[in-house]
This record gives sequence, C-alpha cells and structure tokens, in this order.
Amino acid sequence: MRTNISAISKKEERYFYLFISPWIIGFLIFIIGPIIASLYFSFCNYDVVTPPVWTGLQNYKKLFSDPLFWRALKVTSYYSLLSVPLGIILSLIIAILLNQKIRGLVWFRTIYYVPSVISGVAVSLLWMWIFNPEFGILNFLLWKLFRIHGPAWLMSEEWVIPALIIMSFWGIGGDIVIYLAGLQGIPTELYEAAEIDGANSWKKFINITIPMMSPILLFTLVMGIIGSFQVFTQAYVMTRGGPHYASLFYVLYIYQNAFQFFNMGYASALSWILFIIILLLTLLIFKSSPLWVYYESTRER
Amino acid sequence: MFRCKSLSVWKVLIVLILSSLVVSSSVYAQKATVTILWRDDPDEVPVLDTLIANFNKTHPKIEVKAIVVPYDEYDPKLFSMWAAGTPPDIFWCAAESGYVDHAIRDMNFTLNTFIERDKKSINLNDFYSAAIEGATFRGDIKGLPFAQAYTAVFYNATLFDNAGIKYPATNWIDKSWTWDKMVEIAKKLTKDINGDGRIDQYGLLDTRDLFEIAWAWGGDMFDADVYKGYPPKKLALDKTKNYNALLKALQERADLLYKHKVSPTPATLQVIEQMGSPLKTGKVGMVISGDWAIWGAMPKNYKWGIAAVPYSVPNIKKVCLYTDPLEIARTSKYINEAWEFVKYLASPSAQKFLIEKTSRISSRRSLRKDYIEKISSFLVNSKRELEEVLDGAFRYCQEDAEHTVFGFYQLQSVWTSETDPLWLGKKQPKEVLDTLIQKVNQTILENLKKISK
Repeated sequence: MRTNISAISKKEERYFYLFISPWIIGFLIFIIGPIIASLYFSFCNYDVVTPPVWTGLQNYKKLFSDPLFWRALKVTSYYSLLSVPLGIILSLIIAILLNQKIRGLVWFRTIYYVPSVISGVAVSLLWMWIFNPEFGILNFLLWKLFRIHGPAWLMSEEWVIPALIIMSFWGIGGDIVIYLAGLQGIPTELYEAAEIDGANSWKKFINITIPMMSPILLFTLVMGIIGSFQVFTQAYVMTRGGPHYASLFYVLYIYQNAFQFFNMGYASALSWILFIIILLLTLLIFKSSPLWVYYESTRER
Repeated sequence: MFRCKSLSVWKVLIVLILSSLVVSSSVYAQKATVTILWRDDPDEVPVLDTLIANFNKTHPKIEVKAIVVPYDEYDPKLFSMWAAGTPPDIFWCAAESGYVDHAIRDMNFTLNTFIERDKKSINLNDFYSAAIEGATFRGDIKGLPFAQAYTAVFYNATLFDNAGIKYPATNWIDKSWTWDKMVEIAKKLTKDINGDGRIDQYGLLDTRDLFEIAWAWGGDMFDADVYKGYPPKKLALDKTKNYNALLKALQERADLLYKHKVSPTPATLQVIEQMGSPLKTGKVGMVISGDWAIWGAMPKNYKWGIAAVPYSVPNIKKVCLYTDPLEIARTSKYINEAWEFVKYLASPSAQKFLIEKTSRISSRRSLRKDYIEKISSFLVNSKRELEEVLDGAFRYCQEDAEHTVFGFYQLQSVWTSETDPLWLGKKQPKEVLDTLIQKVNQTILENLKKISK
C-alpha cells in the first residue's frame, strides 16, 4: 500500500513538471537566456547582424566618458526623485479622502481609478494635446483662471520633465486602490483608543495611519522607483528624448542604442548598469526599512 | 490503467507532431517560399498584396509571402531576423537604415550579374540614372528601384488665388525664382484669419534636412566619396565654403520662424501634424519636401499645385532624390526566385499599377507620362509644366544621404537634438553649428572604431 502511494506521488511529481514545463522552458529560453546573452554582449562590439567581437571592458569604459549616459542618468534620477514621492503623497491623500464615509463613494472610487485603465501610447497622445503650449487646455486654463502665460511644456528643456511628472499622476489609481485596502485593514479600535486619549486627527494620522500603512508604503516605494527608472513610452511617443536631450530617459537611450543605432553591445552594458542601479536602490530601501517600516507581527518579539 | 492512459496521450501527441511535420514539409517541398519584409503603410500594403497575388498566380513554383511590420519595428525586425539566421529574402531601406548600412555589413546580394543576364527585360537605361546611382555601393548595384520620390515645392493654389498671387515657377532655371522671392510670397500667404492675434495660415514649411539645406546654399556636410559608400571620417564642415553655406542656411531657416514669422514653430507644427499632412490641412501655403506631400487622396476643398525649388544662391541647385531599391539577402536560400520577384516589382506593368493606385512616381522614365496623367487630374499645372518640374527634380538631384551615408541615422539624431534650441528660438545658429560639428564628429569617430574591428 505504502509503495503504491509513493509511486503515485512520484508520478504526480512528474506530472507537475510536465505541466509546468511550458513556463520553465519559456523562463529559461526567453528570460534567463537573454539575460546571460546580454551579459556576454556587454563585453562585445555587436551590431546584431555581424557576429559579436569580444572587446573586454571597452563598452563600460566608454560609458563613463559618454556625456549622454550621464545626461540620461540625470534626467531619469530627476524624474524619479520627484515623481515617486509626489505620487505616493498624492495617492495617499486621495485614498484617505476616499476612505471617508460619504454618499456616492463608490462613484468617486471608480472615477479616480478609471484613468489607470487606459495607459501607454493612448495616454501619451492625449497629454501631448493637453501640454501643447499654444493650443493645449492646460495653458488655456492657466491663462483663463490665473492670467499666467504657461510654459512651452514638452517643447521646453526646463519644463519637459515637470510636465511628464504631472502626467505620471494620471496612473496613480492603482496605488490608490492598494492604499484603500490598507486603510480599511487598520483596526478601528486603534483610532477609538487614541480618541479616548485625546488625540486629534493629525496625531491619529501620524501615530496610527502612517505606521500601520508603512509596509504598504514600502511596497509602493520600491515598485515606484523601479517603474520610474524604466520610463520609456512617454518619452518615446511624446518627445523622442528632446528637446535637446532634456527628456532622454535611460531606457530610451538603451532602446536607441540597441534598435536604432545597432550598438547592441553598448546597449547591453547600459542595461547591466541600470540593473545594478535598481538593485542597489532596492537593497538600500530594504536595509533602511527596519528604521521606518512597522510590522504588527514583529511587535511581540 | 493510469499508465496505459498516459502512454496513449504521449503516443497521440507524438503521432500528431510527426504527421504535421510530414504534411507541412511535403506541402512546401514543391514551392520556394520567398519572404519580403514590408512596412505597414496603408497605401503600399494593398498594392503589394495585389502584386504578390498576381505574381504567385503566374509563378507556380514560387510563393511570395509578405511580412508586414510597423515602420518603427522595420529595422529591429530586419536585424533580428538576420541574427536568427532567417533573414527575409527581400528587404529595402524602408525605415532608418540605408542600403549602404546593409552593404557594409555584407547583407545584400550584388545584382550586377543578374542585371547583365536579364538586361533586355530589365532595360536599365529606362531608370533615371540618379536612381541607379542611388542603389550603387562602391560600383556594385545592390538593389533594383521599386519606389521613388523627388523633391519639389508643393502649394495650396486656393490660398494663392485668395491672396491674388501668381503661382510659383515650374522652370528650375528661372533666375527670378529665388529664396527671397519665396519668402516674400510666404509673407503674403501668412495670415491671422479670425483676428485673434494668432496666425492661422502659414506661408511656408521647409521640411528639408540639414544636409539638404547645406546643398541648397552651395555647401555640403560630407565629402563626395562618403555618398559612394565609404564611411565618413568627419563632417566636411571644416571647409569654410561648406561651413558658411550651412550657417547661412540655418540662419535663413530660423528667420522663417522668428524674423519673418512665416513658418510654424515646433509647437504649432506639432498641432498641424496631428491634423494630418501639413499641406493637406490647408494651414500651410507652400511646402518644400518630398512628393509624399501629395500622396494619397488630396482634399477636394482646395486646388493644388507643384513648382520648382527656388535658387537659394545664384546658379546652384541641388535637391534630394529618394530611391527605394529592393535588396536581396546575400544568405537567402532562394536568391534566383527572389530576383524573379524583384524584377517583377520593378517591371513596367507593376510600376504602372503602383502609379495608378498611389499616385507615386516610378523610377522608370518611360512611365513619366503615366504619372503626369495621374497627378494632373488634381493639380492646377499644365502637363507641360509638370514635365518641367519633374525634369528639374531629376536633373538637379542627388540620392538621399539617409540611404547612401553609413550610420546616417545616428548622425542625424545627433544633429536633430543639437538644432532643437535653434528651432525653439533659444540659441543662435553659429553657437548651435559649432557644437553640432563637434558632437557629430565624435559620433563618427565612435562608429569608425566599431567597423575597423
């Protein structure tokens, strides 16, 4: 009897591997394979058509003397540094407002989430119209409401990144939903106890809401930073990296090198540097998390 | 029981796979499948489909299949198919990489022997010599022209009528047809129609690239051998004549925007382009560009015309010609079959069909009258005038540098970025030109290092 069971379980194990094999094979061939290949190419001179030629560290050396590499890094960091925290603050505020007990709440929640459903190229084209300095609705409103002559937005070296940051708030619906779920998971007795102790709204927010939400904030911070370092569509569709390299995002620069200039080796080196940057930032955030992230389950220990 | 079931599943699977392999290989064994990589152009694809269908009907041993990809993906697709060892049998410079980029990487098959063998049916003399030069790499013919475009001035005749202005000259050697005169006309065509303080109708849009305006003002960005397929070692702008020509050209272009205010600024142009091809929107009086300005259906609410490109400097005229030669992959399994199809696409009958369906010109001289017949149906010009315009367009021309200069696209992307501040009115031409030369030369050096390895 016992041998029978183990035979069946072995058979089941085989079936497990059989059924999961499409994924495993796909993962090995289409994810791990290219990753290893790109590491190799990053040490080569490779234009995709002719065979790669090993050049050692040359691509990495070139990278540090390439002004556009530094430009792309600066543009991306600037965007990331502003868009991620602002996005988190804004979506947290809206989530808190949507967590109030008022009439028609379901409608508000839907309205705030709806923009996240549309994404990518369609949104980029829409915002190109909004930002048009001469005919766009944004500058029209600035003039009608505040008598301000709006900037040239996407056509201005100074304003193109702020414009794209404003545009990034279009997609905060996803974060709002996550925050709402988090807010609803905070036990009401914590607030009640604080009220008995005489805490005002601000104190409750700082001492209860923020600590209880901190694991979720950590998650959105990490995802936000990774996402912001991978910005591509907006720049590719709306600005092509311009004007004058002002929106040359890192991934756009990789794309240009890989698929437009056919410097696949150099593009691979750029990709590995990006991977290391994101990895270091993520590690840094995780290392710092014990200082500011509060896990209920660890309290008793 | 279990074991038995699983065995049968495996058996069925194996039998299915093997039988499908046998079936598919037996079907294809009789036919040579020739693939052609094409871009997703709504005018071109239906024409190509029909031509392929016609060809397949008359060639039972060959089956041509089109792989159609969006414009932006054309080069990545072409290059990755190469990398995978399964290149398309036929391709062309449909996107950013030119046939010289392909030739330097030894991608395209040299057609000299084929052309010599089939010279009677091809009749190479029937092609404009500039078009054949535009497919020649260091003396070897690397492609047979399928599609062709030329540069001219295209205008909205209704706007000329409304302003009471005579239509511009069609004769390319008319000494009175100068750049200054064109700017004068452009000023008259530029209007704020509804009086809101904003220009609604612009006189002129000059879409020519930097190397083209350098030509127009009597200079050149590259040395002559660069256009023959030899990689550039530096820009030819260290020669005073070339430098001054391009500097003057940049100044004139910037003046259109900010001094004469007869051309749309980048911001306005973006809006106009979102409405459609600028000329067709009725927002622009004259356009200097390739003849794609009048491709496809022209709106019926305006009359349209075509004219010679004016003299920017006395006695010098040079405009861009755009030839699209079809290339055959050097490593193709079916080079002979691919050649049959390339020949067919370049044949008078296929070319005639192309003119009929798309109102595009053919590289074949003998079909010029068919083209004139076609476009005279929607242009104000007489047939003699059209003959005159085309005569000049193919006489004072040189093949597009995008096709003939190695690594052109990367160089162009550098100078496009570097000239942004000029078109935005933030910097002066000299400042822009000086950094541009330095940056482009740096890129050229990097590219040289790559191919020398």
